[in-house]
Amino acid sequence: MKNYCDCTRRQFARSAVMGSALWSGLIQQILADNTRDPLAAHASHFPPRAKSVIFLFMSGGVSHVDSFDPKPKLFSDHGKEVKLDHPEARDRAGYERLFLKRSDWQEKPHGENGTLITNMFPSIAGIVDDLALIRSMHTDHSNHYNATLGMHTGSFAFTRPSIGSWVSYGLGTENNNLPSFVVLAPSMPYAGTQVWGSDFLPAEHQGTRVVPGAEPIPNLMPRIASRDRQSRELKVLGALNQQHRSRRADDPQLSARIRAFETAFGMQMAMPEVLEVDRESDHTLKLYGLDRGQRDGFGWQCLVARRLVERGVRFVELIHTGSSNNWDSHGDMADHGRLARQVDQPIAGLIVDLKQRGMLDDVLVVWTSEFGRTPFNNKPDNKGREHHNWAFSSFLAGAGVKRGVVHGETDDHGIQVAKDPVHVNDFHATILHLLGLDHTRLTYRHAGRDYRLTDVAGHVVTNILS
Amino acid sequence: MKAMILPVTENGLVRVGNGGSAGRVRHMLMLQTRRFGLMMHVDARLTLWAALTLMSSLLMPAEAISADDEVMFEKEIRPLFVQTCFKCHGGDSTSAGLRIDSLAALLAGGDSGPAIIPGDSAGSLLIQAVRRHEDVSAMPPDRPLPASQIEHLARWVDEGALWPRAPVDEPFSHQRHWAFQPLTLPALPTVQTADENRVDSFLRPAMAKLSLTPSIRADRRQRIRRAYYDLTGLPPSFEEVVSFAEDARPDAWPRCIDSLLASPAYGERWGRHWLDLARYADTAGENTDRPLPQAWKYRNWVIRAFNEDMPYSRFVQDQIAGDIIARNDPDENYANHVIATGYLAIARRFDHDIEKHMHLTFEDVLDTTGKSIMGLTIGCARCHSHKYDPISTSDYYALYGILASTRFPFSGCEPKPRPRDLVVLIPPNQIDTVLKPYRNRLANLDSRIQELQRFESEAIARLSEKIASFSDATLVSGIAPDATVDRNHVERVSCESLHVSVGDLILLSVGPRENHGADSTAVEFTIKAIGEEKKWNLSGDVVNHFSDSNPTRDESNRPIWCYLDERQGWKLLADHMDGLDGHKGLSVWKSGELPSVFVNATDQPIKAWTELSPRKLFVHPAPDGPATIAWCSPIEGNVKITGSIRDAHPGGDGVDWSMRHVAGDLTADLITMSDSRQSLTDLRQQRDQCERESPENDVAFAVAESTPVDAPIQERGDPEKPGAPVPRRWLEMFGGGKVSAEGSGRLELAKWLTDEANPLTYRVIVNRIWLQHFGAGLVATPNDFGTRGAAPTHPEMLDWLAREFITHEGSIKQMHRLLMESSAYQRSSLVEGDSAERGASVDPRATTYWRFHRRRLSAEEIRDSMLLAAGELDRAMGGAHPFPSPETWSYTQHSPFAADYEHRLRTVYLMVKRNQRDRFLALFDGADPNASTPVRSNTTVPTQSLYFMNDEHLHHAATELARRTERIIDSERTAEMFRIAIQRQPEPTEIQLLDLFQLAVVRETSIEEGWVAVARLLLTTNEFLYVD
Repeated sequence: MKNYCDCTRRQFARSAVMGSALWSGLIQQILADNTRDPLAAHASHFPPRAKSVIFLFMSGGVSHVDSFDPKPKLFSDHGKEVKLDHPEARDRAGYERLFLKRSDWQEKPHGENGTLITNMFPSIAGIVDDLALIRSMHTDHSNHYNATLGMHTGSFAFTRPSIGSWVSYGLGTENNNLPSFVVLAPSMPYAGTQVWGSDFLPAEHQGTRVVPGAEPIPNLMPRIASRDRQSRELKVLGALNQQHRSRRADDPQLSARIRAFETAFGMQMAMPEVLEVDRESDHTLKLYGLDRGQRDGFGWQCLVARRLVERGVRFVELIHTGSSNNWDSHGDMADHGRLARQVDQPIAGLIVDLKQRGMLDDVLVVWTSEFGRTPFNNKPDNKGREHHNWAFSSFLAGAGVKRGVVHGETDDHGIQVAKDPVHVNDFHATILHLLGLDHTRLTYRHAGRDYRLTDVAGHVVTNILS
Repeated sequence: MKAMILPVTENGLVRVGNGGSAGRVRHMLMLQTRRFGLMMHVDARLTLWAALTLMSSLLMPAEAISADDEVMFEKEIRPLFVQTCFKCHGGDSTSAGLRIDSLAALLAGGDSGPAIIPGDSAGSLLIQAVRRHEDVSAMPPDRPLPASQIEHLARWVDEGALWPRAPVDEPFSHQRHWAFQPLTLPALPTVQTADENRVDSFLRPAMAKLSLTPSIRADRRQRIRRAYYDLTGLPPSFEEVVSFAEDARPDAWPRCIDSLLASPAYGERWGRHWLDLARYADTAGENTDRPLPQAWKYRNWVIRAFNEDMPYSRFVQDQIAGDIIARNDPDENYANHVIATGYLAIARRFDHDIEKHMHLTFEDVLDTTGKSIMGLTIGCARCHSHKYDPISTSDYYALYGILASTRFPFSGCEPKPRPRDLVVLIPPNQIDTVLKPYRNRLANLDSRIQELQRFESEAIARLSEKIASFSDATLVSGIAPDATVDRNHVERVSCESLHVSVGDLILLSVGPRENHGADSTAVEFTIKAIGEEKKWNLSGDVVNHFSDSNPTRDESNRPIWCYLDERQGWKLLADHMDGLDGHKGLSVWKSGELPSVFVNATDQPIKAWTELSPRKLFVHPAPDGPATIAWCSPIEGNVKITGSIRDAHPGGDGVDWSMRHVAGDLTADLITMSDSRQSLTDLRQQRDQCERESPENDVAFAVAESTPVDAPIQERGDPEKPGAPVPRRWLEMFGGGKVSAEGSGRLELAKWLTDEANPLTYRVIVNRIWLQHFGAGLVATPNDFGTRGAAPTHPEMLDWLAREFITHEGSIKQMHRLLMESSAYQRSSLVEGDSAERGASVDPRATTYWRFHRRRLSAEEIRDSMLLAAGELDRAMGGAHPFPSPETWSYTQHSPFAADYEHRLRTVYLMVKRNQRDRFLALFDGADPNASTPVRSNTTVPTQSLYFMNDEHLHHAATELARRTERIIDSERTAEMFRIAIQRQPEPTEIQLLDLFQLAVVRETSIEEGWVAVARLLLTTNEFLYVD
């Protein structure tokens, strides 16, 4: 990837300490040290198509039949009773009698291939020719907690490393002033920090959560007001540590810690710089639907995501919104309209922006939810929809992905996958594949066996690869 | 057909293209062989050797199946065949001549020809049948398979239809594995010098082999700091360093060790090592991560057990079967025995309804027990007989039955919110005597409560009757839309003028619409007497004159505001509770769960299930009826009514509301009802009090015996597919001893685990003690002594230590003495001295222990040392955490338990959550509260540096450290802080550097800030953070 940011960590550290004659000798000592970084970029298994990932996660369960998988037949069969043939439907409470429910959104063909999409996401529909839409997603659990865990770790019950941690572990980072895996999440998702945890992988691969607002990363704000003063303090610390190390030169940990302070010092400046979106042009802000000065909202998250991958961050996850006030529209599907308005323009804007900058050749954009919503209800007049894990829709766009294709299909009512099912494990395998990682070879030995993101399953969805 | 070029891979198998597996090609060839004969497709470039290999591989089709393919087959394909096809096509049933119970049978096919063509799902009859193609009989005949199963089946055929061989019961070759052999009786090497002990004599040969000589002895400061941190997790004071340095007695070192072993801090450090292994946590880990309010008792039991040097076998036995052992022990030990079984009880709970996933909790127990006590991975055998170690699926379910015969406490979960099955800590034979007075009191209160309830229901009936006779006029009504439609929408309610008489009611009802019982709704209600100054404002009255009574009373004790449930007759919302979900100032009145009325009486918004504005009152209707607020008129005259209704929780379909006027004096009835309500509330409080004070309340999160039952094998680990029951017994590899019929079998299990003949248990524990002292285990995989684990670097010493340990009745303290009195433990960690050069080049990681290892402080040691340097560490033993009372829990997966409780006790006493890891502990590699942690990882990342640079706790500690030395003269102050933080006298150059630095800071800020900056530097140094 070309280096979008021209300041390297080392240059940066130098510039920050220049001009302080008293301590300049000491800093030379610190900089002289050159230890291996556990997050250093390393080679993939085979040439990658994507260098980084922006993972857009819609929390709560987006209704597929109201958005990317519209079903005209639901309209004609609205209110009719439906019998389900699925093992999970047998003797399931609430599934005694079920009635089909039509969508409140209108579908229309979009793009060169006339892909049917509703007007829930009008801006995304406008760029459907850039997407590879998967309409045959399915997952193992109809509970938010477990399905969210599954979508992030491949495991539906146990704590395991998240996909971002696996990618960081597999590829490292290209910017030492920033973490390799960043999560932009305004509130806590279902299943909590497990969603971006590194579990048994080395801790440097865990996601660093950025919370829009005053303290986006813990302890990022210097507590010493003067940068010069902090810099000097760190130089003296460096001197004391070098003195301590002089009799312990063989210990790589001691030098790694000296180095870590240097990176942290850089992060204090690099990270706020990334989050400072005001430097973007009016044109760009408009693309994301952002007002100048705005520091939150999904548009902000999307724009910061672009700025992060631009600076070499490997995996950026955006969560919309969290474990409450989200896509979980049991009461009334109309709520999807409100939520869609929050993300539609920003997501389309992100893809257009990446494309305009030539970054879409290197960046993979992933959009998904933990599951879909039922095309039926147990009362004919219910306005909402319930959790549905047998079928839902996701899309990929960008590096290495075919443009304007639809993969897989569901049955006439969007209840079950009818063709080319894509399990969460397959979805993960495909993302890793695009990054040049073979999901069967990306392993970590823990507690006596090799673990994988895809456990013992997963097949790359080759149909959508360009 | 074109001839294929078949490159030969290293292992002699052939591969085609880039991605084809060997198995797939084999079967494609096999197919071609059947049709066209093999050789015509083998390219001339294929050597004879390769062809032979190929032929032989064809003869043994399942030889090289990969583990993944096998798992895929066992998970997706075999169950499908067994459940769906075998009835007609398995065993003796050969409908249409076809059997589906082996690959050969499928290839041979039935009346219509071969059922599958490996590599070609489209051409395979079986796939055509399940896809219900027109020209084949649709299978299964009654209903189609789910799409996903069809897809799996087709994929399996396309990938070569790999069919693993059935597992064969071979005698285990693992039986020769070293760790499964009895302890050996190693010859004792001679101790060579006076300052060495037996440990050193065992270490000598490996060093000698590499011509290494041991490093020099560490200096006294290094040794005492090492001993303090290793045994107590805290540094010595500078004075302690000095007095040890000056202690010329020959036994100064053993004395130092003994005094540390006698310190209560010892158990706090070594207990934590065990808690790591026992995956200790204070929450359950299911979807809402509910608190385990009694878990701390187990934590403290562990700490005390270490301090008392409880014999290890008893320590283990108590944790497995303390409740049973207690029966034959004096009563005063009863509680401790029971609490010890917290080891089993605190296993993680899973998913939404934890009772449906107890098989996973049991796996957690078996996995943890296997790893922590025997260094054996048992968990794998839940789904398949262990590939590497001699643990079969029936072994697993034999032990599983023991757990299934045990009553585990119920932590609560979202659908079943309250905990139960906790164990009362009174010996069973005393329960009746101890509880009798309290039970009498309770019975008495209960009968009075019942009496009042009867009175109340009669009053309700009278009131309802009376109201029915009054005029009840709807003044105005409407629908308030959901906040998702318009977040700012407020429904205005008003009535310009209405004549009321004393005792009339004006009612504001908020009810559900079609779906889901509506939501939290903010309500305002103001009544103004026309022509008078008098005004009644609902939220103002309730918040300002905060009162938990319903109705509220004015100064002359007249009822004013009432909260009603109108679903069946008129009822006051009588259950009142403060501090809902642990939110201070959030008060609720309700009837059952719903409807409810609640008030945020604080000046701040409360983030509960939705954001609740300050100083506001809210109602939440029931699914089948409204929540009603009534104003009971204290006056006669005209009033003006205004009000507003606003949905406070987006989602749902809004609410119906109406305002009514009920004319007729109900004052007296309301007072009667409210009085009886008050008495009832008082009685209930007395009852709660009585219950709280009851010794029955002293409970542990512990296990108890349940009905003995043998558990069936669960096919592929699926509890929905029970197979044959397995009698409860011990592992086959250790003789498979049976349990007695009466009990669960835990007592027997406890004895098998700690049997002196058990080859694993004692090797495993001495290895752990070694690991904590020497930085690495003699076996590098302390939780895995199986065939996949590492071999011991010093097997003779390991066995000798295990024997010594048994001889000294499992005394862990004795083991500390033995290890710490060795020369190896007292060596310098620095690469210095004559031997260093060779050591650094031949054995840089010191696997021969020629020098000591340096280590970073653990997360606990970092926090404790910081607090100690700040003079703030509270050395008291921690107790219970301030969790909200279980009656108030309404945690959901949407809004799980997520509190943090800060204190200045030692870090081992911090509350540990499973789903939201503590930020500090996670940052510094604390133990995983979800899995047995045998070795802490040791990361060095920039976010840790950010902590040292900018965290408020670090800065606070520095400020306190500087404050501690403010009475000391300036010229000595740097040195004093140095002595406190780093426990040594600083070098003159260090003083110079720090003083120069201090001056530079002072020039720009203040004198005090200069000292704080020096303190901060000291707490941030590598020397502070590492132990030589």
